Amino acid sequence: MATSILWQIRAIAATDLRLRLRRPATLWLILILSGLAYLFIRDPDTGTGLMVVDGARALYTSQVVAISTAGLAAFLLTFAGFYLTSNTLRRDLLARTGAIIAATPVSSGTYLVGKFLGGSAYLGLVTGAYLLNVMAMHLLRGEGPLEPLTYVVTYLLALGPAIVVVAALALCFECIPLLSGRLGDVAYFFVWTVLVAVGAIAEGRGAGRFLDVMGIGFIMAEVHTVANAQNIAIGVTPFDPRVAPWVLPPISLTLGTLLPRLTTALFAVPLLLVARLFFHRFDPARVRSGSQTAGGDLIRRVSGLIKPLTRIVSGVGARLVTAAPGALRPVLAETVMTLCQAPLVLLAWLGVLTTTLVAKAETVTHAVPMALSAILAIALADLSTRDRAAGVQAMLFSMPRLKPDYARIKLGAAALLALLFVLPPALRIAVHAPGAALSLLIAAGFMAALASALGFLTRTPKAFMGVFLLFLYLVLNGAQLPALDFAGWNGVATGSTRLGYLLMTLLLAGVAEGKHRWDLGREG
Amino acid sequence: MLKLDQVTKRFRGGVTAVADLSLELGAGVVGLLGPNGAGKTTLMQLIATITRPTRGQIHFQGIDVLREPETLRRQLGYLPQDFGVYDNLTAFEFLSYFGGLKGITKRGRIEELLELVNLHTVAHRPAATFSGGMRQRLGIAQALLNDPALLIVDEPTAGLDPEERVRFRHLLSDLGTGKLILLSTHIVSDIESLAGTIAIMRQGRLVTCAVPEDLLRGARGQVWEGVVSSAEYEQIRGRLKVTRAVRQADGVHARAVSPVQPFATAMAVEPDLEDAFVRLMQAGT
Repeated sequence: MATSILWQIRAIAATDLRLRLRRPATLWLILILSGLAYLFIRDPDTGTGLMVVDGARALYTSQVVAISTAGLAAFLLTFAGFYLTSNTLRRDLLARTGAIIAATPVSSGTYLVGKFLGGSAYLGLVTGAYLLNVMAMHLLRGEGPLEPLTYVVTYLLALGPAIVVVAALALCFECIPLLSGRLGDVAYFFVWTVLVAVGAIAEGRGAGRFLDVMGIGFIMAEVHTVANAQNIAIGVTPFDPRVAPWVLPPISLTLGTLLPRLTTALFAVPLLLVARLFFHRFDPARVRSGSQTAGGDLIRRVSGLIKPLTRIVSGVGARLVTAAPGALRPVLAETVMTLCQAPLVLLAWLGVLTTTLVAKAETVTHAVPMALSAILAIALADLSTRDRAAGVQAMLFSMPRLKPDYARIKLGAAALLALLFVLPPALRIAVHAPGAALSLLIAAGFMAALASALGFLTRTPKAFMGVFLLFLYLVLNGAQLPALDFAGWNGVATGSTRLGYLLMTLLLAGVAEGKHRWDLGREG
Repeated sequence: MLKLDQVTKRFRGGVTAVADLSLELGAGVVGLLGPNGAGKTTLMQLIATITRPTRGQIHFQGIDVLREPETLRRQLGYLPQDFGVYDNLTAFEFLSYFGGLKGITKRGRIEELLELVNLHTVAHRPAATFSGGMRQRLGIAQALLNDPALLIVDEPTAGLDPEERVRFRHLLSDLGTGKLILLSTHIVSDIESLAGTIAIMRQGRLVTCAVPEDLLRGARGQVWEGVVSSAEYEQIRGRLKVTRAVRQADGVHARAVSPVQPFATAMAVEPDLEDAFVRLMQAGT
């Protein structure tokens, strides 16, 4: 019996891993990680170091490179890791293998454990690929011998709990109907910010070190133990060349070091139990449809209440589509359909419109664009991927001109939808801050192009959600940086900022179009 | 072998897919016939433990399936109607995966099944390159992995070409004795030569469950054939269930189901299963 369960877990985890590794996205990810390893471990002659303590550069020993790169990877791994692994049940639904799995003797618990291990193994392998790149960079820039064991132990301690907890969180979110769609993707962004905050606040001390999923507190504590410094910076940081470099001794493997990390990793267990509680086991009466709309009874009920409004939009939209010139017709039809099939987006639009009309000018300039970014992230995410997921793309391609113009139509619809949202606040902002209004209009185009480009590249809305939410985090935390003020809400955007985002928008639009043409070329 | 007792399945929103259905089946091939929306797929899902009934009981070989679903799942082969494959897996990997889930560890069994469904030459090709028929055959192979005592196949011949359909019928009839094969379809010819028992469903209810001979006997004297003009044919089609019509030089050779002689030239003929099915559907409307 136990052997049979182990065999089942092995089959599920191995297949899950195999399917993930065969996605082109994995190759991209490994290439990005290689680039990051190169960027992080810079030549000290450039005046920047990987770890700087009170102005002194830490020598590039195996321990310093390992702990610093693990700390930097923790941010990406815990963030992108969720979006990379939170599609395992959905894959079985889309592949229409769920019912067959449900009819096998595999228990729901065994299935979820297998899926969890598959997700953990994938994140572990990605981390392993990153680690290999880091060690290769050590050979290039290291200032001490390469000690593979030091690297492996440090990565296991720093990132091991993050890998298993994020894999469990992804599975848990997928099992809970309300969190299994784009709403969950946005919700995870807030969970992630809490994880960052908890790690940073705890700094590896007290009870907080048991909650340090990201390992930031653990890393800071390890450095503090030997450095007792005021300022510790990890990442590409300028150092004072007059201060002598210092050496970080190896991590001491005591019970006090191991126990908190092990305890943190065990958070995966209650998360898996919650997942088991909500798992639908592909029961058609419980499973949500393959669409990527946010789920839950409450949302369904609210959507039901707004239905009369969508009927009006649908009616008016149908007339507009008929009256529109030929090239604009499919763009308009796509936009109307987006609004009608997601009544909550329509409700959000009404909310934005009302707030724009009644709120103070300052709120409209700063808070409304912020809220708009989150709303548009949800509204735009699946616009370029939903046809394929619903299996209607081939049918659409049989319509005149739709196949060659598909990317342009999707991009146009995304831009029009974004414009619908940003135009009212932009008009009001333009009265007192025309620059900010222009930024907002460019931001609408930028978001539409980013959603389209990533949608065409990865064929999943998750990539856009992940990338854009991470970008949003940087924007919120870099309020003083003009380069990050993409929508003008921080009030520091310059003409160059606007020009930069406009050029990026054009580039991303080109990527979407190019990828579509490439796909068509491959089809022959 | 399989016993369903007053099984009802009501979905959220009030749709009743299966209503008070009671049925007792022994070993052999059972054809489940019914028009689209009759509740066949939901019934199959209930028996396959994919979903639970709102009310009623299901027993297989004396075991309460609702209480011990895993006991049935160990002896179950299931091919759903809306079934797919992972495009990135090869046929061999796909079967190995489901073999793993079913506790089949022998590589030989997978190779044997690939040969049985004639996919052995493409065993290491990604399923993305497979035609609809090849995918369907792969689905059939996975359903047979554990040599099931209960095989449930829902619309299995959809997507198969005529040659493959014949091969599939032979495959089912060769599966051996002592098993219950439940085959759902709305195409009568799929089960005509295969099923020892036929259950007919309409609007979630069981209309009848009988051996084909009984169904044919019931339709005897109610199936008519004759030659009519095109104008007459249009008239007949409006008021009768026409099961076949062929336009020829002398008129339309029409075959219809009716309790009384439907037109002057009509002659009573021997019914086939399609006629019997149409008669039962007609009787309930």
